Amino acid sequence: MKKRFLAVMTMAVMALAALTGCGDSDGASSAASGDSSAQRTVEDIKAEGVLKVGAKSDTINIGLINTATGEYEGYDVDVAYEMAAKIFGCTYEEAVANHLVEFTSVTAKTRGGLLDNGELDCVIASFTVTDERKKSWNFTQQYRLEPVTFLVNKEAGVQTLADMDGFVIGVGQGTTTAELIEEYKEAKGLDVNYEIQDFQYISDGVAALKTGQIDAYSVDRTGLFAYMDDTTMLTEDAFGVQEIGIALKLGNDELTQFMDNALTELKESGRLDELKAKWGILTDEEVRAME
Amino acid sequence: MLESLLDPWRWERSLQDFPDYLEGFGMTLRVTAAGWLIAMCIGILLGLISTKQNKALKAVSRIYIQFFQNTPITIQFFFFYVGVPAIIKQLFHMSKAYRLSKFVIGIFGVGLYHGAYIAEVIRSGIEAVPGGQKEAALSQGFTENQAMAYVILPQTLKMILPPLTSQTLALLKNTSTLAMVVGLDLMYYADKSVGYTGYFQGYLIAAAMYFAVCFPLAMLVKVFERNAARNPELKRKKKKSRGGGLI
Repeated sequence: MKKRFLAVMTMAVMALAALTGCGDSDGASSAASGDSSAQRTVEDIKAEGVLKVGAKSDTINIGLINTATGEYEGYDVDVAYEMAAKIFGCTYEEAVANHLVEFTSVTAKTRGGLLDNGELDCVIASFTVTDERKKSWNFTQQYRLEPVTFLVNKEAGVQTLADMDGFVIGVGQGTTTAELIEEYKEAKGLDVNYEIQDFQYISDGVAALKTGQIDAYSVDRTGLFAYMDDTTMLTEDAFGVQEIGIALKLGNDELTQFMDNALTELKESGRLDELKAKWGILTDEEVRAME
Repeated sequence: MLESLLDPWRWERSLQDFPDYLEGFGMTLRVTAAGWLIAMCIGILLGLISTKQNKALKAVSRIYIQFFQNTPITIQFFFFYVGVPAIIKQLFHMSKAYRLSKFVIGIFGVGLYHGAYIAEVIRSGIEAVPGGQKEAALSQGFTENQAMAYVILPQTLKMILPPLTSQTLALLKNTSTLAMVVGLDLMYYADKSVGYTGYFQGYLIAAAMYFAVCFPLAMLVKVFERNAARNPELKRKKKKSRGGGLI
């Protein structure tokens, strides 16, 4: 029995060693420097003829799969098409018509891993830029600014966070919202106690709110706005403005720089604001004015 | 992918959430313990009913077992999360939505589900004891219940221990489904951590914690199996008694 156990364990260790390429040392060093040969360049993408983008599939106006057509729709999706247009040197309309972007639905849990293993060229999916995350992925400048607010049931009769003592507040799993609420509370010197619960999908959180299992749901204003109906409302709060950027594999500086430049051009030409107007997203000036 | 799995920073960052994992682990163990008690109560009751001659009771027990064995535990959790509170609110004419605590949702979720499986384990265990044993007891003046308590059940126990322990193991692992309804259990906190950091390491930490309690249980199953096999009279029937051991 003991011998067999030992044999099994030895095999397991050997299998693991084989999987990891038999070397802790070279594994660690290439992780630190980022293996440059594995990075996808603009030329690679051109050669392959498609830009692989991780997108949201569940958020109205940002990234949503239209069940009638099966196509992704939303502001983040349009930004992806604009990126493809820049890479392939065509117009936005051509990029859409020729399916130059291959979308993959991502969640907060899957987006990082899909970048790491090279399955995606970039993630354009409400990915908030933080210093901590910059250690693991490359980020462009922001293409969208988002303040955070709360969705509540109208019958609860609350106007701001100050009224939410004893509330259970739902947030999106993998988001920075919980910290932002805490910062907001401290900055305002509010004496409220609340409990945070994480939901994987915004639709789950809103369903929990409507069935009364939570008292408020908090996430990007744009995300919440789309779920507002006769029985729910947004509170007056607008805080913790988030910079949403395009995320790429760590060390892929060429593609990051290319997309960053592309975003600068889109901002200067007013095209980005045009897209924001199309999807009902606040411009940078409007967001700054709200704070 | 593998290099990011070995990245020391990612391990360090994931381990920063360890206090959360411990809290979730506590919830998982509490739900397992209380859920197991409920499952045992239901299992023993329905298991015994299934071996009795009363047709009406037998039918109730069959319906219960078939219902819980043939619907996903996920749906049952959602029923306790959304359905039951709505029913309670209606029944008692409450003005505000009613909420069941995650612990209560958890113990009834796994308890009712695994109760159905444990009932089958116990029924098959009782039926595996040769009929002659009962006849002999009755001929000696035991009543039906006495025969069950003094002659049949002691023999049953030895046989059902392995599948019963497997059920306990499955119950423990199935508590992770609670995470789907914000269960505040180990899986929920692992999801939360991995969701935030995007580092797969969080799941490995959670897996190690589940393994640490499940592995000894799995070893226990082996020990019980060997014990059960030692009884020559029951050896013949052993295969039959393993019936209910599915997840």
